[in-house]
Amino acid sequence: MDLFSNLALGLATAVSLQNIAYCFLGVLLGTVVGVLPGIGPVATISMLLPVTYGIEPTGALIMLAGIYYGAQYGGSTTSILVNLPGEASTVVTCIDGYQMARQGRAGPALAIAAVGSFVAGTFATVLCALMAAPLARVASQFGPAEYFSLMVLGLIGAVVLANRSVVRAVGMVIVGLILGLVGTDVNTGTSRFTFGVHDLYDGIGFVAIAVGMFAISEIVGNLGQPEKREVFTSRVTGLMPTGADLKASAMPIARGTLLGSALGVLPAGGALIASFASYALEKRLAKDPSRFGKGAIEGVAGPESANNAGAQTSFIPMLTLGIPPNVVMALMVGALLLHNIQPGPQIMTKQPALFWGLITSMWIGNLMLVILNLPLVGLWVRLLSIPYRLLYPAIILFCCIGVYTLANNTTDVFIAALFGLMGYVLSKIGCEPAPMLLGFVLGPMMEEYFRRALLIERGDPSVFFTRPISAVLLFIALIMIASLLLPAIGRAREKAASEAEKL
Amino acid sequence: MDKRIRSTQDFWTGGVFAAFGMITAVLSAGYPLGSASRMGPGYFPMLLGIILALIGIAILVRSLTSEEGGHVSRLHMWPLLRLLLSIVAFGLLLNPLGLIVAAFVAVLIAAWAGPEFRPGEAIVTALVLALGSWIVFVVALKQTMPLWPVQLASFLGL
Repeated sequence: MDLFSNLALGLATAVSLQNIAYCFLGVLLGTVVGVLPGIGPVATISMLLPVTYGIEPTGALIMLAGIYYGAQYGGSTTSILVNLPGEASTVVTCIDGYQMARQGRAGPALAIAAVGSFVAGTFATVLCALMAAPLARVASQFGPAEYFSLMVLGLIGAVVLANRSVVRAVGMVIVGLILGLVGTDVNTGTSRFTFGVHDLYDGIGFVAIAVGMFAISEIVGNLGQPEKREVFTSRVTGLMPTGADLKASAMPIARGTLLGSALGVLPAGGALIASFASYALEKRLAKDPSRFGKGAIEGVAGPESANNAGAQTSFIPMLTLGIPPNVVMALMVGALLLHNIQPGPQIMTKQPALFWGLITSMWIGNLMLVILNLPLVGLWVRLLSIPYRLLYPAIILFCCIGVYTLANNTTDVFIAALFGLMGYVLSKIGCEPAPMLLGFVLGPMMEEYFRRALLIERGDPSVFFTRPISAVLLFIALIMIASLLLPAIGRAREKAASEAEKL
Repeated sequence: MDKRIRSTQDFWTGGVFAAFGMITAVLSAGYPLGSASRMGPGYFPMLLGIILALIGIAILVRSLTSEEGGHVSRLHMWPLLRLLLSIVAFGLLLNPLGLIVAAFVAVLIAAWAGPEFRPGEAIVTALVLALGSWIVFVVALKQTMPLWPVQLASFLGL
């Protein structure tokens, strides 16, 4: 079985001194931004994209991935000790984790969160390794029509599952698709929507858009709201969970891991939805649901495992199909494209070291995170005493320098400012930026596949419905849209989305 | 605001989408469209522009009939404008005056954007961050960018 030789290659890649260092840097940064409210992995990864341009792609991806799953660990620390989600996906951990902390059981809560995350991370790593090859094999059979339909499904799925207003999100996806087309058309050499600006001939910089829409506009949003941060300053004593704690947590961890792994692969999946779903599941399965909200350890163990599993399995569709299921993965695609690597099934054959190195690094990273998070928890809590008024100017400065250094070009800095403005205004009128970035990443690829599919069939658009795989993919997308019209599903979705929005 | 508009969020979203879609469609018409079997550079954007404009019009109509979309909450103009000014200042100052000055000014303006601005503290932060970014980006990461004002640098022979 060549899975083992692949994993061996991955391990060899991941444990090189350089890559271990990048992995460590990634999970360390991830923990820090996870702990700090007001800055999340999306903004951090956007900010660091330019820096990764200088290092080789494997190290870059390992580091960026570390930020994402590292933030899931760090976020739970803040949720438990401060009752404030350091990270969106740890919002449900606040409910029971903080109650545990108030009862003097912060230690066991933190320990269970870390153990659950580690178990989930390990399982998700194995799952990535097992699922990636078969999926890539299926995907390599795909023609342009199938790819186009897959992208339609991916985008529809992402907006249907994750947004309150689907029409708006679809609109934002299209805005992103259009912005993705700016620049020189590869087939004809015509420059489109460049208005004669020379710096736009290669397209709008992905980094400038990501930094503007996420980092800058998020800071403006935060400055509008007065900061409230009450650090729960009881000392964390006794990390060890009791035998009863472990027994109560075992099944929630297992269920959370499975649920999170499954949800992570779906479009719009990832850490956030996984943690909500797991909390709901644990509450439903509990013998005495009234304990939830009063410090039930299951309410920490399940969601914390689920969010970490979801964070990691969302790499599967990105790496094997080239379709980012959520915005963090869109940033990963952006990082690959910066290095001229086209995401998709060919990654595994053309860049085996990158592919397997990344997957095995996740397991190593998870191991580092357990060590980083449990003994050092006091240090992370102290981070919370840094006031936001000192933090955000530093973020702004790093954004500026990062965007500039990508091409040593100040035009990109101005473009980032413009997208900061756009992102803030759009969020004010109820349009979230995430679908736009998904569209932006997929725009050029979608046009290319659309063109090629129709070129082969001499302009007959029925090709998307007559080729079986393509037809099935579009049919699923249609069902997703139709399901919105069913009142029961509509209500449940609305509830999940509005809860996710309250963060 | 007009009483007939039931949801200002929907109204503006619809307007922005419709305008963006129409502008895209009009601009696309300026490029060769080609045919479905041989698409020109204008074909796909034209299609997207039309779909977006239609979605925009639908949301616009909804804003007049349904309150589902919600209302626009207060815009925080001052933090927004000052923060944007800080970024633009960095872009404008970097090439003539170098990283240290640009970073110092950008951080100072950014700090001024927040609700609790303390001038003394901001100056210290700006100094620390300007020197820190020099150490991180120029010394450690070896990025090339102008460090000092061009005039001064040539005068001192740097």
